[in-house]
Amino acid sequence: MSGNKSSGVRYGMVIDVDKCTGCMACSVACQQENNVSFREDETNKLRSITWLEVFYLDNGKPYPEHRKAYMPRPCQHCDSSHHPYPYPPCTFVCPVNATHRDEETGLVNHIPVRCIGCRYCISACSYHARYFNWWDPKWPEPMEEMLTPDVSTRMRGVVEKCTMCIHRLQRAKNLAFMEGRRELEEGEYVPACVESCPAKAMTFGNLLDSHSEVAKLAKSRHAFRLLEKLKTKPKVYYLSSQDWIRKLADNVL
Amino acid sequence: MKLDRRAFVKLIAGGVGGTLLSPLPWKMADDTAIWSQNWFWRPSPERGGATTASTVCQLCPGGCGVRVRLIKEKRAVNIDGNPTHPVNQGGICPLGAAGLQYLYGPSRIETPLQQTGKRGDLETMKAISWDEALEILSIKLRRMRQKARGLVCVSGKREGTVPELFARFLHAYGSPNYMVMPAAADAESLGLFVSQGNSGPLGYDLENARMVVSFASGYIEGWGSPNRMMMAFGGWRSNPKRDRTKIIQVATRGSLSASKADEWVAVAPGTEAALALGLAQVIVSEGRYDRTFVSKYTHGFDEFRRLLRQNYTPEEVAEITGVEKEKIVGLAREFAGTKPAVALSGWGQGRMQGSMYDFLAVQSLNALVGSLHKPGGVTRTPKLPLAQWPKVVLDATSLEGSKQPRLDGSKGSQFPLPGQLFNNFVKNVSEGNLYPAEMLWVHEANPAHDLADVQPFLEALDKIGTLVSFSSFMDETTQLADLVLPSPTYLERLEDAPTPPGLQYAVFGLSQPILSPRFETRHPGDVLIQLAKSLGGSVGASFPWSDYETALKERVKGLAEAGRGQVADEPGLQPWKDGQGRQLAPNYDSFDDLWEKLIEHACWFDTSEAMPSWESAFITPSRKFEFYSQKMRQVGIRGNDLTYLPHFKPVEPAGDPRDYPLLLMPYETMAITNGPVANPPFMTKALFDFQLKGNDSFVEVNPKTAANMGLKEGDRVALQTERGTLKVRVHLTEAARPDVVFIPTGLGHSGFDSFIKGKGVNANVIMVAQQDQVTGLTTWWGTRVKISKV
Repeated sequence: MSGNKSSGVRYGMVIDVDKCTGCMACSVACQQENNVSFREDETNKLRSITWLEVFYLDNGKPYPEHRKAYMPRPCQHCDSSHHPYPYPPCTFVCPVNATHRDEETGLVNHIPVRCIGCRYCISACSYHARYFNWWDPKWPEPMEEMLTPDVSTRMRGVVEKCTMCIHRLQRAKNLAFMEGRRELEEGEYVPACVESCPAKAMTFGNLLDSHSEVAKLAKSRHAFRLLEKLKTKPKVYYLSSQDWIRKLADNVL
Repeated sequence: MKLDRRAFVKLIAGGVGGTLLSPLPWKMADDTAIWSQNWFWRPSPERGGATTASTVCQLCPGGCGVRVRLIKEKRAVNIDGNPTHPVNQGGICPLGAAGLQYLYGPSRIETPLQQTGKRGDLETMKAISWDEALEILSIKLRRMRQKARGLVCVSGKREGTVPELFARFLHAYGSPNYMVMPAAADAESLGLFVSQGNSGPLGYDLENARMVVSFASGYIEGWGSPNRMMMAFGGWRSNPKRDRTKIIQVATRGSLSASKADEWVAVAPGTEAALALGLAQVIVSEGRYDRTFVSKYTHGFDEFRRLLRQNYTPEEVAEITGVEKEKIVGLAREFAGTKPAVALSGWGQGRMQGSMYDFLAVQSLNALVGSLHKPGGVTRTPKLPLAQWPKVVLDATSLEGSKQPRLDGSKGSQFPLPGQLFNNFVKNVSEGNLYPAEMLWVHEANPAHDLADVQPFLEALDKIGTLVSFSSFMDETTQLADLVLPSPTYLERLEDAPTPPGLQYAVFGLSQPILSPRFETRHPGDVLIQLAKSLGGSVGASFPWSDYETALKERVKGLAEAGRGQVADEPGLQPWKDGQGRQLAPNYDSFDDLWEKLIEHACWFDTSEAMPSWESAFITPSRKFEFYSQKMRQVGIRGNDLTYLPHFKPVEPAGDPRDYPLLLMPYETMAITNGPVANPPFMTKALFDFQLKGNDSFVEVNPKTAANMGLKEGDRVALQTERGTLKVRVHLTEAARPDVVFIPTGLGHSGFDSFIKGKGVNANVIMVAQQDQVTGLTTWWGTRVKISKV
């Protein structure tokens, strides 16, 4: 079993790689939304924090058969690596419960203030989706002004990762509660990356709601997940009609 | 009690075991983690009520609607796309999403500045008050009024009331020298002028096209209005299989546009137009053209047909472009057989002028298949029904001034067409032709970094009297300025955003000051009005408004009176869906109501204007689409038949192939911004480490070429052209044609702040531009280069 079926909610995302134009808007929107820090030199990618990283793929063929594609990679919000327990690899290893999988939504959260910086979760993650703060974040004067109060800033020594903008879920829930509703409509809660995508290549919603766009797309014959053989059961699906892209998705990184 | 060894061990073991069983260590670890993260330097953003304001992004001419999330109505914390705005439908590009990094960026200019020492020396830039700045400028302008023609202005904006005010100021003052920064729109506007009799801009009905052939346009990489294009692309890819829009990319480099197309036709560098003519030849010789259009509404078809037969048979075109003959024939048949099909022109993001003949070659394809002014084809962007300002008041000096030749030589004896030739202005200034440029105003443009072939401009600056920069940021041009008049950013000012390039329906966006200005900045429109008032006379009389807002409102009254169009106030509007010519009843009842709604929703749009009919569309001497341009003859261009017909004019890149064996071509990507604003830190972060590593940028080299030269991935090399040398690193990729190397534009800034400057190299520094001898346009796309290991 994957996910908690009793809640009826299991948030997931579908990214159409064929529609992705590689513009990087998702990555930038994510950084702005989540107070991701930046430094003058971000070219050491092992030290750079990008919750939503965009991978570069190409088919390896010579000019002019060469084709490339960009593949946005948020946290995959895995369900299970140890069937039948629905726990993603990162939550398994955390000694302080700083990261855990939310039973109601299936989202994998990370609580930076609990994190002791052991980086066990980073090595456990199969998707390089977790990042470590090697430095205290510094926003040049007066860029602190643009920090959003919705997401706390992280300090040196802790891990951070994509939360699927869970603060937006909170906000949407509060709004629904004020209107006397218990359940969210489709589209009420959407992460910043999905909202930003100009080509509408990203879709987000409840995978257990069979009427939702995301559930339909996830069942498409072009749908696949990254490194499916690891059985981590990500809730991020990809679509592509290109064989070479699908092949690379299950490659050993 | 005696503590023996056994008891001691028991005690310790029990203690450890007990502690471990208790929640204490876990609680301690947790608490320590929390305590050690609560330092005073940890930024804790001020909390408060959140509101959202709608406005329009002005970072490029794309005209996208954005929403800004504000905390306590004074701190902007997020920008996302506005779902009610028809142009971008809630999508946003990386530049727009990073917009707050400009608002709060360290490279903002805080007060007017005066250069008291040597140009370019930031130490001697003195902060002055606005009164002083305007005083200095008006004294200078008053003093040089007799040499009024020497005032030159270059704007980074093509459309809108602010560039119009600049043009108006120059007109009233007595100078013919208002220019805009070079772009593919210049070739487009000349091409339309000679073939259709008007100057565009073009509106592509791409959402309804079933086949799109892009001639080196970066259709998803910043061409036209970037978000609209990406949205259209997403739409094409969403269509069910049988309705799927087919995309063909004709280009030399394996860009994302090429990879995402259904087919990439790799052509020899600079030969896209030849391929277009090759397709035209097949369509004509096989009789696959639109007979009604060609026979009734075109002029010079026979001459064009003869030219095609003589020069552009599939064999010959295969020879020029390197594309197989069968492919050319097949592509032509498919293009003629798919309805509606449209061909796009404008190299990359459309930031390079390119050749008018290349544009004509591509447009002739659209003409042949009857895609001009038809759904799914290409038409012209409808004119906004804005009210006109009162006529400019002219005195003797300004009348005299408007008769003067332009410093860029446009409409002159050498280049009679009405072009925008900034590069030619640079040439004339450095050669001392015509008359001196007493003063150059640069409005939201950065020619010192962005001009193709930037070196001549930097050298010509010595011969330009005073350089005045209207900018929000310390860009390269502003660093060189004698006087800096800082503008508020787009989030702090009122400004219109008229229909973005390439759109088939009319849009009027309104950017508004959703935050009060952070610094001592002043709206360029207000500066011009104040300046005109202090000059007085006819200049003052030409600017009768108290401020820019009044001037803008006066024009917007036209929208209210037009009785058509709507304020976009609901998500999911698709103004292209039911075609153009669909009447839209206004959803406002007066100007005040319209203005209020514009403040709330920031966008007015209209589909009421139908595409012009073939009877009325062409205002050429023959009243038809002219393959053979009589207009060119009319304005005084002399030449042989070829001059008046679309043809392929090969450009020989600068440099001797024996000394410089490879070709260096620039490329543009969405991930690196071009134009007056530099790459914000968020976008730079998203670059791959084979695009930027440390401060090194990369040149793309084909692995085979690299192997022949003994180069490996990451090697440091010197790129040497006739103009100079740049040091970069090598990135091996099969996207690069074996005899060509590619370098991204937009990097290598020396201005701005420490997050921007020094990253990579500015390729424009070593590029050599070429000039078309008929139009005066810069037809450059590559320069010969030598690569050597360092």
